Amino acid sequence: MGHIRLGALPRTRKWTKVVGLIEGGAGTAQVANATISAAETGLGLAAKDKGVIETIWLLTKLPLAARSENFAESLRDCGLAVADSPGLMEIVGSVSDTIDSRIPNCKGRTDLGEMAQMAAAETLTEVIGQRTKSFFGTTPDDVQRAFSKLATNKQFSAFAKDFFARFTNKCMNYFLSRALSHHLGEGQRFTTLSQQAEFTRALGTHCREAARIIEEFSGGWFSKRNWETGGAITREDIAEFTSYAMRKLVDELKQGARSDGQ
Amino acid sequence: MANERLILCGSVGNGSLPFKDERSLRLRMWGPHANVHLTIQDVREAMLKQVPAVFLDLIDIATYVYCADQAVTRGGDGVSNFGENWRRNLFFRIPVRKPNFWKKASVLDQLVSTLSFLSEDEYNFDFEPLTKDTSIERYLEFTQTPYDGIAEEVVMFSGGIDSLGGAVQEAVINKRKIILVNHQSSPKLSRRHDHLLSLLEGQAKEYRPLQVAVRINKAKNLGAEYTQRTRSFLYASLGATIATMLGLSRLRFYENGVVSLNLPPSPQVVGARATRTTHPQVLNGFSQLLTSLAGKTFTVENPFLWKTKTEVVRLIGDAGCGKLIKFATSCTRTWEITKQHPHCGTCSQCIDRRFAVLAAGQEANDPGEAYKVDLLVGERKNEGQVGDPQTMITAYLETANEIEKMDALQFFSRFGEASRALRHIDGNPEATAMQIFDLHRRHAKQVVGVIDQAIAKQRSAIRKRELPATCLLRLVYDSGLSASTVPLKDPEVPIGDNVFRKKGQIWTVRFAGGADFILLPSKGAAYLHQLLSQPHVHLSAIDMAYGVAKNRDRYSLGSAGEKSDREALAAYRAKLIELRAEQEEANANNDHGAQEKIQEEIESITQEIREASGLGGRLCKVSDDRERVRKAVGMALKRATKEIALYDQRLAHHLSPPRLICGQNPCYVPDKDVQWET
Repeated sequence: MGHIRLGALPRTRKWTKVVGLIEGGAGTAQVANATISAAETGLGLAAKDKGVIETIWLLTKLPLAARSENFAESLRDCGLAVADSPGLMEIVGSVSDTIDSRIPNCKGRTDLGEMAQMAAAETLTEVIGQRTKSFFGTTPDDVQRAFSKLATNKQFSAFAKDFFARFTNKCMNYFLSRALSHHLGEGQRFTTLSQQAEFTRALGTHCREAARIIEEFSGGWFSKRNWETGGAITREDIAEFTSYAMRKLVDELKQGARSDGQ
Repeated sequence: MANERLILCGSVGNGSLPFKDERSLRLRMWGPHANVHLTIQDVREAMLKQVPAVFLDLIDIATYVYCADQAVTRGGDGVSNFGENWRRNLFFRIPVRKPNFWKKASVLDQLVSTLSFLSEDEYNFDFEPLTKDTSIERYLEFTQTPYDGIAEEVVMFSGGIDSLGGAVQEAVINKRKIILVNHQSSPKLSRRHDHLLSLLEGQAKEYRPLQVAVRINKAKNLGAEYTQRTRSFLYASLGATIATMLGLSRLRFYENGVVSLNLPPSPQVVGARATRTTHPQVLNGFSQLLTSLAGKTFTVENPFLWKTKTEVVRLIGDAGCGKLIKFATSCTRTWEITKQHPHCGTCSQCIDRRFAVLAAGQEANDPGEAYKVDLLVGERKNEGQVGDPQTMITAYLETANEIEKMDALQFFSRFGEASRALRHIDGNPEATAMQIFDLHRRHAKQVVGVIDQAIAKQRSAIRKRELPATCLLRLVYDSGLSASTVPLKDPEVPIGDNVFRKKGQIWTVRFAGGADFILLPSKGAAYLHQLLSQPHVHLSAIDMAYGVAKNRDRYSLGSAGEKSDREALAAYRAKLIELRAEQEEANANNDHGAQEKIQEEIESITQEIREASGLGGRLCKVSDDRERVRKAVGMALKRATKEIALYDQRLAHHLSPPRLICGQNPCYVPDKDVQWET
């Protein structure tokens, strides 16, 4: 029990290039660029992925729910099964369970959606947890206050940036984790585990840097769309937003490799 | 919906199916064409009581689901398409004794949602009335082993460390009479299990546990998929039926909490690729379903949820049962098991087990020689070994390394998967989160503690570089060099603003003092290197190609003559006329097979004629080698600059006309201030 198997990258031309770059000692920006190019078709599906859209849609609903008079009731209206005074971890768990129940396997659930769902849980914990300093000993009112602050232009931008940075990083590592340890050991790209870990961390930083592009427009989009729809942002709106965001992010990751060379 | 399958069970009909499936699967447990056989062995006659029909149905359903799970492939790794075929849509039509019960929305929902979470597939069930009832005796094989009629608990027993810990906890420490339900997957494992149980009986004395073994045999063609995510559903169903026979309403799985929650050790492990066999959400689902079946509360629980594997091993040792540890089987590569090496040492379970044994100080009871690959100093190469052993161990250790340094907030901000358990464990989610974090931190400390001790113990061998280069200790030992993302093979770092230099097989490039990037080996990069090394010099494309070519004999120059002679061309044209006549005939006969074949031939010949004919129907000449080489060099340079544009557009622009001239005599004409270090 607990059986897990790990695999390697496919031996196609594009993935062979990624492996060659890792082996040859390319920096994170260059490896990220090649990875994005190899996975571009798959990543392009994110804007149509039901799991990704449902996840982002729920994320946009939470700050608005927190601004209502009855936070718990508004969360329940979004489909979250929470008690009357929910804490952060209850909300995080409910978000995950709600997406699980709305996106059945083989009816829209994909690895992309799964990664988005996990990125959402992590972003919520990180962003709200940091604002409430911890998730232990904070009152439900603190949690609601922290969520409601996300509804501002600036805060939503930071929230969206964190989510997309994690999502992209997960997608990158989904592939690269199949290759990195093949270049570990004496005489290899990474002599020790700590060097490999540093590369992985640098890749995370690179994704966060690239996701700054999301910060530039997401808050403005959220405020505008929220005002236009009277707080009823639809999944179609989210699909458009996600499509634009992913395009910008992919361009940025490619551009990042170029700018590093300038 | 790419990966869907119809599974028709027993003698059900195939009318009104929800989709067409030419590869539909037929599973039969009974009759002359039976391809699935379930046997419950070692049952004592005194145990046999009336079993509600719904539990018999449950056994059938679970057996069919388990067999279909192994018969329908998930499409391999599916890396490029984000695991498109991993999640399957399975439609079952199953004959049952109580169709109305199984069709109830509440029951169906519980069944489907539990299975869906367990295996990450989509389930659809159509239940039909069973025409010929089968009693439970058909599954059973009786034994005359004494049984005093007392059974206080039914415990699932895989024969691994955790389930051994559970048996020790129940029978030796708590002195309770238990029934162990065990899957006999192969004769090799059965012998080990039997030996382990006989030792356990010696320890438990009058509380010796009874074993009920379950065996499933299926036709060879039903073994296409190794993942077997629904295995625990089958065990739980059998265990619950036995518990019901004995008048009990509880079933226990003993599994350490870290494996039960099974957070992904690597980013490539997404969703149920990390097994959810005893995940709290799954056990809750089993409980709810079995409660519906039993008509009263039925609990499925994991008493080791808050224990790490190290703590389980320690529990076994403290109970005086340490000598049993070496007979517990954890390895998933059962086909590799030998008397000398019952553990491969490279699969996730072997790694987990060995860390736990060392952390618990039980090495004497589980000798290292029994592991084919030693955890700490054994050689682990990915190439040529199943399951990427190096990737597995580095992922395992790196996860522990990370968690050991985290606080609770960082932990849940890093492992989103942990949030899936929060609402499925009794208690406040915030408090549950703290328990989950605490469990994982303890585990991480135990793992890194083993490494720290091993480094201290092996320091001399490490210093002398006597350990294998790919062993775990060599991989974790930091020689003091700063970690770097630049290649370590060649410490020589170019210092100029403009660099185009070969480093091993690859090219290191820097332009105008920007960041370094690399180019993979290519002819274009080699040509560029030649040009940048000799600015203002018109080189010959032939010489450049000759200088780079591996097989220089190919460059004897000349003309290849005409592509095709006139006779051949005439024959092609005649054949084309014949084919068109045949095509007309095939069209008239509506012969699709012939139409397709003829069309392919016509297209092929037309292409030949087109390539061989020039203006006015004259024959073309194959371009001579000089021309071919000129074009090849030009194209290779173009490809190289296109690749460079991905990383440095300024350099790509710089390497364009008028500074870079192609043709028969390529030349690099830089601006005055560009000096290349090559």
